[in-house]
Amino acid sequence: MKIADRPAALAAAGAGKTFWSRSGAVEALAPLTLSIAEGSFVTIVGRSGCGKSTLLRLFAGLTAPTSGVVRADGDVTRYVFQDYSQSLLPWQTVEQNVRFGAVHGSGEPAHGDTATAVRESLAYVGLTGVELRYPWELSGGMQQRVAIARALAARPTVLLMDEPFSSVDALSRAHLQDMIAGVWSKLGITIVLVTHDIDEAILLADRVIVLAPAGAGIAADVSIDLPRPRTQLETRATDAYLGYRAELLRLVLD
Amino acid sequence: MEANVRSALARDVALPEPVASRSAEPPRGSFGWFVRSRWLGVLFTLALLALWQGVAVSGLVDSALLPPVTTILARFAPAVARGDLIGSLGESLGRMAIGYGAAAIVGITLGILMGRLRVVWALLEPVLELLRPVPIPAFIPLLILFLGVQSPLKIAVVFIGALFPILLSTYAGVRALPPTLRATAVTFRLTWWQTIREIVVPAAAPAMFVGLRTSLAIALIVEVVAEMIAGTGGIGYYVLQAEEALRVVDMYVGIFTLAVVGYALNFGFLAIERVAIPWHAGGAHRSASE
Repeated sequence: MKIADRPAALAAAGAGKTFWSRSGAVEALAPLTLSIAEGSFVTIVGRSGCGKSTLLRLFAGLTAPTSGVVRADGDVTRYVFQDYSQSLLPWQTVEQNVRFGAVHGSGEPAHGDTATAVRESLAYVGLTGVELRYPWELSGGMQQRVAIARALAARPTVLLMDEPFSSVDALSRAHLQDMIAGVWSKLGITIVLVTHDIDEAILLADRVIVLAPAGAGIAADVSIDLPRPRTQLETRATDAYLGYRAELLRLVLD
Repeated sequence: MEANVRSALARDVALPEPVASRSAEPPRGSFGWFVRSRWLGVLFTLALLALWQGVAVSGLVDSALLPPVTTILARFAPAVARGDLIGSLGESLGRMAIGYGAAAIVGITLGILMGRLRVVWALLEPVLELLRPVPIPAFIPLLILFLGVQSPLKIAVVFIGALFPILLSTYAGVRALPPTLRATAVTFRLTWWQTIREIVVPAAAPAMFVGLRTSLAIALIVEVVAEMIAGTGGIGYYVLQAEEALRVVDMYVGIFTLAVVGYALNFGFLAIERVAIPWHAGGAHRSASE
């Protein structure tokens, strides 16, 4: 069965968000309808203020829609923040941070299970030998790996990521992109990743959703049909890739 | 009296060590090393005591009012042997411990509740803001009416004096919880109590320790003040009694003792802090190398 035909892991029906400020109502996200299939890798792009983070926060239950409904299973959904340094617990070591994820995960792990979950999660993100360090002793890229390992330790079926790689340097970002693509194909979970980086959006996703400026809703919904595994060098040099890139850039810049 | 409390507070705030210069550290034991080390301050303190000694011995100041340092130090042994110095000190520290401990428990609990539950904040904030500016010694005559002049009075005074800094810094620490950390607790579906225990308390711990350390100095001050106003015993009463009986050397012995005890309390507290919140003491200022 094609991924797109599977049942929805996340769905929004007429879901929108309006904030009330002193100067009146501000529509952060116009009501939109969207369904994300189980096991898909979806990226959401758009300019600043288009509401892409708001949409992700609606799915995470971090904010409630002011119109419509959002369907997501919070028990099996975990979230990776852009600001890893404010999200990791500075008083805990890397291992303890990841154990936090295992303990606060879906289902009750047996005691032996927690240690296994911690070890496996760290292996998924390619971290070894730093278990006893504190997050603030690590580079930004490694800290974000810890945050992703912590989310994975909770055994989620849906992973929401809000610009997870915007705060790390370009080289680390390429490594992190390859890492998350590997995790996705290994675990078969649903990943929704918000980014302002068109290349990142194409390289990772089956489907790129372009949000219109100023929270006006969905501008385009593009399926990305590129073979996997994709690589930073070869994939990004193919004609198909460059075609998607031109199409999406035009959509975002318009 | 309030001014005394204020200046004592200001004194308690440790001066930050100057940032080390980029040039190579002077070699240990050299003059350049010495003038940057703590030993400079130790030597200066000893020099001040030597000056005191010289002034007192030379007769520039009446030695009945300012006895030589050596005379004061020589009085420690008999004072300790008599038992009244240690006894007075123990009495003061015992009451302080009870009042301070109660203030820590109540202050931290209320601070967390005020920081997390809007209704508790709305209920307590006006009362606290009314009581907070009142100088603690102003409560003493009132409290004497209800509690008499024995230990319950001093414990209550220490409790009130120590409560506000602990409560307010705990509250501030809880309110300063980074929004992303709060959101992290939500996305991992922590319950209210799990959020308090696993996120709020450790995140606010450095702020709590600031309040606890400020209150420790205040507790000693108000304990001594309370003993001087309504004295039946304790180290403050010991100093006052010695002065009134013109046992000037004993008065200085009491003051020296308070200086050493105050220093030791702060020193011990910092040691506990380093163990209790190592990520704050060691790490918060270090930046990660990318």
